[in-house]
Amino acid sequence: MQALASSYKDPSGYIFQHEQEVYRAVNKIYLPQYEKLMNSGLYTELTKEGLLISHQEEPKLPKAADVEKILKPVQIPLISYAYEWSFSMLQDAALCTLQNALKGISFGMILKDANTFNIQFYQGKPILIDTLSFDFYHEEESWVAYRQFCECFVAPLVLMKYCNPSLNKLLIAYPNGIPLTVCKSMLPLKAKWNLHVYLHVFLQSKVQQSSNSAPARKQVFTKQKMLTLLNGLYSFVKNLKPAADKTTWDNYYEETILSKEYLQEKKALVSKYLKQIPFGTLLDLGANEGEFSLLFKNTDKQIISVDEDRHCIEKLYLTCKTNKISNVQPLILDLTAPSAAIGWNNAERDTFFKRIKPDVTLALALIHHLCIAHNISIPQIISLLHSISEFVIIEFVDKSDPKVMHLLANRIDIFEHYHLDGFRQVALQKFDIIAEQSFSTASRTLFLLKRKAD
Amino acid sequence: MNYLLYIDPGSSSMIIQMIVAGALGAVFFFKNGWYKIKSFFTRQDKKEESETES
Repeated sequence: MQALASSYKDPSGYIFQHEQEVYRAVNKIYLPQYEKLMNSGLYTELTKEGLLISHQEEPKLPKAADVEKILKPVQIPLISYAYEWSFSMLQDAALCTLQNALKGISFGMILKDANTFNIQFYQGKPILIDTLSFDFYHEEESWVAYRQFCECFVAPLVLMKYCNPSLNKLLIAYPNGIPLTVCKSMLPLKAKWNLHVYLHVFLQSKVQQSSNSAPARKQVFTKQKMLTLLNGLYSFVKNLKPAADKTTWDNYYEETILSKEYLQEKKALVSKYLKQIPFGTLLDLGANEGEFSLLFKNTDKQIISVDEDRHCIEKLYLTCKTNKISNVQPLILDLTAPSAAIGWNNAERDTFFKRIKPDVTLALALIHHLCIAHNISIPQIISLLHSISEFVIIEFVDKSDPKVMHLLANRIDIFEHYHLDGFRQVALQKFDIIAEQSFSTASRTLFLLKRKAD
Repeated sequence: MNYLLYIDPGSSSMIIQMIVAGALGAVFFFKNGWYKIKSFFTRQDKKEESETES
């Protein structure tokens, strides 16, 4: 059983794939800790509260010599990363980590790592997926994962609060956490006046830089100090709010000239097309605030809603959280530069499109932005859509549409191939057109496409 | 030595956590004290109010 490329750091065990499902191997050396997790009541408590992924043991699967147990965790349908999360998503992931740590302490165990990759969103909520993250807790020892937690969660959150809410993208450059020296150098002076930011970022960075490699005299931590530290971090993270700024797509549906009749007509047509095809997972590209994704809320469909606008995704996440919508997963994604493969040998974290397998893709009111605002050609877009899913619902927005006229207002029209016939011809090279209908309320046409067999 | 603690906590991890826990503990102590003083007087005020009302 070959470990996944991302599973090499922790000697406690590793994850692997077997017949399209993910399993976790528990190495012999971790067995005492694993047994304590399972027998102390901690596992039951954490899984009951939805803080830790549940699993079942698989005694029948063949094991390597140093492996003691094989676990089959609940399968997460979509793996996402912190650089694709909005502020509240990262904040909730941080709180989930701290809750796991606090619960662990009360059962005599400590969270030994605290990176963002150990948290995934499952049924709308963050959950710890690394079952092997707990070790025995010794009261005289400090939190081994404190620096990691600060670099992975505190640093991006304070940068999003004090500088710009898009700065979690720095986690692409620093997947193992933003170094505190880097974080410190970007923060404004006023951030120092927050005691928590001062302690966790400025002071920690200073102490790290000034300390010599020779350890100081043996000091002893206490349980009271540990609880003060974890509870302090919890209340600090919980009260954080992102920097206020406005983006282009704020209140798009409320403020733009798009008429209610057009939206109603489009919703009806999209629903009609989707009734014609079998699908389990839908990818909504350029989802905005989820106007169309939410048509399928609380159904058995898995909806992945992506948009490059962090405000829209934040709003959609909060809508889903407030209304307990568990089947819509919002993520920040810039289609012109989707998440790349990163980490060791560029194999630890997959590209966005390698992680998703939708049956149908929605690309509504998107093509004109890609073509005219970003100079991406129609063949390039069709080729991308062809690689994503079998079915595509795509809206073609004509040059006579006010939105396209707006995009062309300050530039020369170099897009001679951008017209309905041109689009149709290109689409037909890779797809069959199952349905096509023009809107009566806008100069737009909606297509239902099916991938041609290779 | 616990081999399973596989991440480097940093050379000054213990020192910084002692300082942070100490500072947060002190803040909590004073906040708590202030809250107790405040609630003592608020209670007194309320008591007085209810007494005058009756």
